[in-house]
Amino acid sequence: MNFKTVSIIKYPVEVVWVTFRDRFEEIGERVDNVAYIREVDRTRSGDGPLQTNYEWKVDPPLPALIKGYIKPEMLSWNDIALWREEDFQCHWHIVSHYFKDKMNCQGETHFQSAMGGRGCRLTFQGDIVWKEGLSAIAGFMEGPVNRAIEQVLENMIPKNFHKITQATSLLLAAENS
Amino acid sequence: MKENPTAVVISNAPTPEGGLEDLLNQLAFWEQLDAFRQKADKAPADVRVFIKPDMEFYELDSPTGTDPGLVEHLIDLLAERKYINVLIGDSLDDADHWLENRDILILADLVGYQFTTKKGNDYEIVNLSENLIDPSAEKEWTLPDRRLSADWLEADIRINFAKNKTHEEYGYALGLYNLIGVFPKRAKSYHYFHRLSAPSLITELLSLTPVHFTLIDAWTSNHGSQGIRHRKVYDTRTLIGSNDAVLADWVAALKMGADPSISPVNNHALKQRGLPAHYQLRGDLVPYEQWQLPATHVRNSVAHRNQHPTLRHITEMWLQQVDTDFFPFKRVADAKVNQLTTSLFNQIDEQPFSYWGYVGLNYFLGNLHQLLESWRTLYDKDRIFRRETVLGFDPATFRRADFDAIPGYIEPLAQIVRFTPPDRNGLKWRYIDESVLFEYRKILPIPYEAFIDRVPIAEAVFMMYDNIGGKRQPIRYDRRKRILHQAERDLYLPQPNWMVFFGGKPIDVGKIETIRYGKDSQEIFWRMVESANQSARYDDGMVRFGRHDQGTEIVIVARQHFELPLFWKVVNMDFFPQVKDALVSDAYVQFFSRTMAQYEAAYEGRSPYVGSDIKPDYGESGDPDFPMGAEQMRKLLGLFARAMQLIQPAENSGKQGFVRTDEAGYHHFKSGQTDQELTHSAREIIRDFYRAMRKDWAYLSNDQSGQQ
Repeated sequence: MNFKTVSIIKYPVEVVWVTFRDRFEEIGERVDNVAYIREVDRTRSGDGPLQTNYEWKVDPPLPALIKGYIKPEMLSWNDIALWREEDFQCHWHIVSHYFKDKMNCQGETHFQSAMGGRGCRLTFQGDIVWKEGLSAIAGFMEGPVNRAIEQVLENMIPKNFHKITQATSLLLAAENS
Repeated sequence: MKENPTAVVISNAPTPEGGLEDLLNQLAFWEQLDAFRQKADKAPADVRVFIKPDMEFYELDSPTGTDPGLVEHLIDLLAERKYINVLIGDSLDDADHWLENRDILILADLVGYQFTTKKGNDYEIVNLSENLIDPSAEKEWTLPDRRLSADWLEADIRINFAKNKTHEEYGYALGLYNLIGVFPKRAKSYHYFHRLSAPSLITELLSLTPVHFTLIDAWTSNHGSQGIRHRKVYDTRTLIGSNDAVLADWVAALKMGADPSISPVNNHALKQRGLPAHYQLRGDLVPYEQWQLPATHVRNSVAHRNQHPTLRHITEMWLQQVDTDFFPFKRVADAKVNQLTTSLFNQIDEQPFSYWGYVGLNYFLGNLHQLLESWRTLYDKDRIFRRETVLGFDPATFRRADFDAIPGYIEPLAQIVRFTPPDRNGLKWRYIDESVLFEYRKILPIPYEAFIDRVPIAEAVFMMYDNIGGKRQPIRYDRRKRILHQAERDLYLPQPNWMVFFGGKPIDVGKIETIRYGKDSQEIFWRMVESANQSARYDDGMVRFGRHDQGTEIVIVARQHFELPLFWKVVNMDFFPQVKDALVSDAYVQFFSRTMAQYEAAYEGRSPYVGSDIKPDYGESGDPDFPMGAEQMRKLLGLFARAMQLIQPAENSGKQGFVRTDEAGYHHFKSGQTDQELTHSAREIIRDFYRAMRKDWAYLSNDQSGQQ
């Protein structure tokens, strides 16, 4: 599945870029249904781009149908990102703790100037590929439950992106008020 | 500025920018602007210009909103003449409840406003839901929600830059419709289409904050049955402009081939303000060829459905064509329903099956609402929402002598009925010119002085039973600051109440009134001057509070003639005089005995009004869950859409349908799981419906007990 979504934050692109790159843990604290975002690693090799590794753990409200089948590991992942300063682009991929090799999720986030320089437009796009189909459970309810889990996970990623941008706006607004 | 009322139509200019320049020149826009500037003794740079574009965008490059490129070109043209103090703005609307990225600045950026024009002129975009102030006290404001954005109120020149498009309920949505965006509330469907009346609000807004120019971007237009919802582009290559807002829309509607009065918004403005005298029309007025207006079935059925604010809100959410890359749904479930329903109903002009399905769904939903309202009117009045209105007519058009003449008209009628023998219910009444003239009299065992102290005579009409809202506006006071003349608009439940089952309309009457204060009595005399919905031919009368040995005597005399629903016009009760007399007498006795109870309630400090107030701040913060249980409505719409999909002919849906016709012409119906799903869903809906209704009432009236 491909996804693309756009958001705008009313602060200049340079400010938003740095906030996203360096203060993700703080932002995570302001997002509903995110248990935590924790920085695992931050490296830069020579003049190359910065690479960050954040661990996510979320706790979203789930449809009754799949609630009993969701294991905590299904709702945590590592978000590994490369930050290219020269064109304000971030390339990322997700490593799921539970689905590991079964799910391939990657994409990029573009940070562009908006609102005549007063804002930053973030375009978040990527794709999720389920290798051999998702098989979270087996048995009688296998089909509908696996489909439902797949949908929840697919919706969660762009949804979280909007929550993150809103939290970033609030964080910046609080500091600039 | 409107010494020369003109409407100009520019068709087939080589470019939209060239068309706009031509339009402004022919409209004498620059001369008028300069005349204003000189009169105000301001330099061009000090003239505050506000442009209100239509920003009803749900997709990029959509013909549902004013082209940002044209707006920016107008800014450049203004800047060339040193008018550099320009603001653009719109307010938040319902979509902010269900879509992301609806903040005005964000929306503007996404749909193409650059904040700096091609020629490098910077401009500001403002949110008209913010920076609210009270309007100037110089003008008589009767708007219930008085506060508007300072940016709008304080502008020297207001330019309304609308889009040329159709509207599924109003027929068309042009300049006047665009002005609803000047009002600040986010939950517009509740506040401006239910709690208050959009047509009245817009007309009043025009009077209080004149719009100096209306421009209509008809370069690319959106036509068809759902002009605000679905993209159906028509390259009309036209620009329309006027220095009179009503005239601009009137011409644009004619170009669509529409009767300009089909839009309630425009019809109201036309009735209240009319077209300017001696206006000029310039340009090609030939209607656009093959322009599609919404069919009457669609308009009527949508109007029927939209009577309920939640249905209006929810169907907007689920039927709107949205580019979800840019405006993602806040809730996944809404996105799913939207995906399903828009795929079914986005071609209603092309597919008869979709068309009738859509019309049927609208009527079905509207009838559910009507059933609920009928039940409440008869058995559960406290759950009816009271309405706030503007006065709806200009009391200044009545002279002092008109007010003073009212007692002279009523008192002879009172004399006639006083000498009429009472009927079996003790009510004195008779017919005059098809109206009912009656007198009701009762003595309340309450000391007169205490009674008039707590039950103001000026509110005696407003407190009558079954009043569900309206507006009172004092006009003249005596030395003791008591009201002598006032104008009043009253909304009453249909009378008698059971008429609601036959489509009886609420009674909506505008009145002028005179009050007299004596030593032993106080009297209010009223005369009807207008009925906005044509529900009444006569509603004139008087109420007298008089001193009496046993307390306070209340006398009500009235002459009334309310329009009957079609059914009762056909039946014509005049052929059954005894039955009719009994019904009339019982209805009035019941009505006035309950009115007495309202007066007693006021005296005792209890609320003398029927119904509940809608919270004035409903929907202003957060993302409220929706009244009437959106979950239940979602199931209902999902069920309907699913059923439509199943029975839709395979050639339309592209899938194997519920009904398949074989080569011999026999119809084969699919069975099994599908039926069970439908039955299960239907059962679920019925079970949940009562709970949903309770939730509806609880949300709007803030009564937590309803949320069980």
